[in-house]
Amino acid sequence: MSWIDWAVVAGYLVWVVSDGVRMSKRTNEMEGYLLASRSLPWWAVGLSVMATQLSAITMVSTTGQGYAEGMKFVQFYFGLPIAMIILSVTAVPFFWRAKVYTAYEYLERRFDSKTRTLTAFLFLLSRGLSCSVIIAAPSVILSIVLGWNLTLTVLAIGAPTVIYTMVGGVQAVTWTDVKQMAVIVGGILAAVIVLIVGLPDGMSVGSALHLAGAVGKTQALDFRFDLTEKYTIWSGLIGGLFLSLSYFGCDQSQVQRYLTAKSVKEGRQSLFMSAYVKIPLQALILLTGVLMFVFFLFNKGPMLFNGAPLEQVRTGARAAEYQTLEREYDGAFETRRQAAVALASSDGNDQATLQSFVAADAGLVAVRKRATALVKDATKADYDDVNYVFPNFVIEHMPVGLVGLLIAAIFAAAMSSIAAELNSLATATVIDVYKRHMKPEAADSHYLLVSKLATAGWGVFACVAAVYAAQLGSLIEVVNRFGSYFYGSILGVFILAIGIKRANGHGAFVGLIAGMATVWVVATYTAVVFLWLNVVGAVVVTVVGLLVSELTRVPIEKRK
Amino acid sequence: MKERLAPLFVGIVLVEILTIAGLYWMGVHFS
Repeated sequence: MSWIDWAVVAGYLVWVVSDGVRMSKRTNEMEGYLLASRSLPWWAVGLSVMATQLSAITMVSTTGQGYAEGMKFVQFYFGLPIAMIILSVTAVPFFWRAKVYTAYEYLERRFDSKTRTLTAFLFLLSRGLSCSVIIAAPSVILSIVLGWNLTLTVLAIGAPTVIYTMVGGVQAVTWTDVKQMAVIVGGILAAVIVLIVGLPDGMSVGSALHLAGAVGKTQALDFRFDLTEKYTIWSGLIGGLFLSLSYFGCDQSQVQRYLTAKSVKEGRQSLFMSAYVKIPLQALILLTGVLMFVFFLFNKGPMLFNGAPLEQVRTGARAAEYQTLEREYDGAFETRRQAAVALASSDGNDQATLQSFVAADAGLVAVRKRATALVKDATKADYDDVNYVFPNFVIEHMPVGLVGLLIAAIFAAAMSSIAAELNSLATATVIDVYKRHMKPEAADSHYLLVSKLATAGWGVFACVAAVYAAQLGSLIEVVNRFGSYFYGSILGVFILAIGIKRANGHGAFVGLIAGMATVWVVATYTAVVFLWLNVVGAVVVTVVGLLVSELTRVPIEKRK
Repeated sequence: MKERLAPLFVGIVLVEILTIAGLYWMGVHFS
């Protein structure tokens, strides 16, 4: 990396930390520190909602998916706009008018202490772990691609985030999110421009997309109704709706964003921003991956993008086998390049040229698959390659200066999510645990101090856990899957709370446990994909919760 | 003043339908 790129990354870090601290006002009181005294404009909250959701994992993994599988992943977000409509008339006015600090606080007012404590505990457990994964995943990738020390990379992402979140509270989180969104979108647009400029002479974007479309990468929609297929229009619309309802309506890391809005109206508008922009933005990120696929048709990339274990393979017992595959890859790349040139210069109706390009691409993919299997077998470890395509493209093919911008964008994506999570973890720790169960009566200044200490504590935990998580690659997937086990179930509790008057605390508590148990059984013993688990959890909690509420209802005459 | 939400909701649904239609067109046109 050139010194100019280093300067861009360093400049970004200094800017974001100093700006976060500078923009924070009235943080000497709890409401100012945790809820910005409910004073923020809708557009800042809206950008913060989007920046929180868009992590570095999304950025490198989604572009990688676009490269490998095309536009299909965009279906994952189809339920989001509908969820925003529903939440704008349910969760936003309910939580905002209840003047709560956390979503779980509302559950005690509606039900009882045990339901609040269990949901808050589940949030702390899952978000605490996911926070470490959000730091670990980009740190591993950047440390491998750039040759940086892993622990230092974790610290470079984690430490500045902890500092501005601890000092400035939710206002620092929101105002830095605004700038970070600008850096992220600017970075993605820069990558798209470089990819378009890098197309061979005379090739239009349309021709490039025709090449990608020839191997199915422009096919975004899958209309099959198959519960075992990860991304279909139905899993996106229905499963994605339930997931979005749960994430934006019941997860403190998002609820806290719109609790900082000036009014219910501004809270609603902040969610509408995601409703309008999220799908086009994700489509743009996936399109970046698709254009990268076209770029690597004409510019030779490595056989495998994740170079970490390759030295071990090249010098180990399977070295000769790997070398043979590399030679096969060279040949397969050249065959595919020539087929791509032929197809691009044909009128598109030449079936023979089209078939030879499709066959050439399948040949190259097969070589890469065999290489991946060989690496897995030789190292006896999991091997992830897709997430390394975009960082590799950035380092090897972006011009000086823009490399720094893209690294800063990956940092920004990670930091914006981490900051919101640390802030919400601290809020739930102080409001739902410390103030509720340990020290109910204390001065505002005391809770403020504990909030700052909780932010720092969660930050240190996330960074330390990130270093360990990074060394145990499979742990990252376990943590990601872990969240999907109870996301839908927590949504079920809020459906009972907000939508069903007859529901009571016993019903919500038993329903929640029944929902999580059912989701665990379905996830363990069937091939149903995770998006549908949200539907299963929410439905089971609602039905069981209602039944138990009816069975445990105290008749009016007995209450007297 | 009472907030008029219906036009906003219609706008969101319309944008979503157009986006999905656009993605469908992209798949068909560039295949």
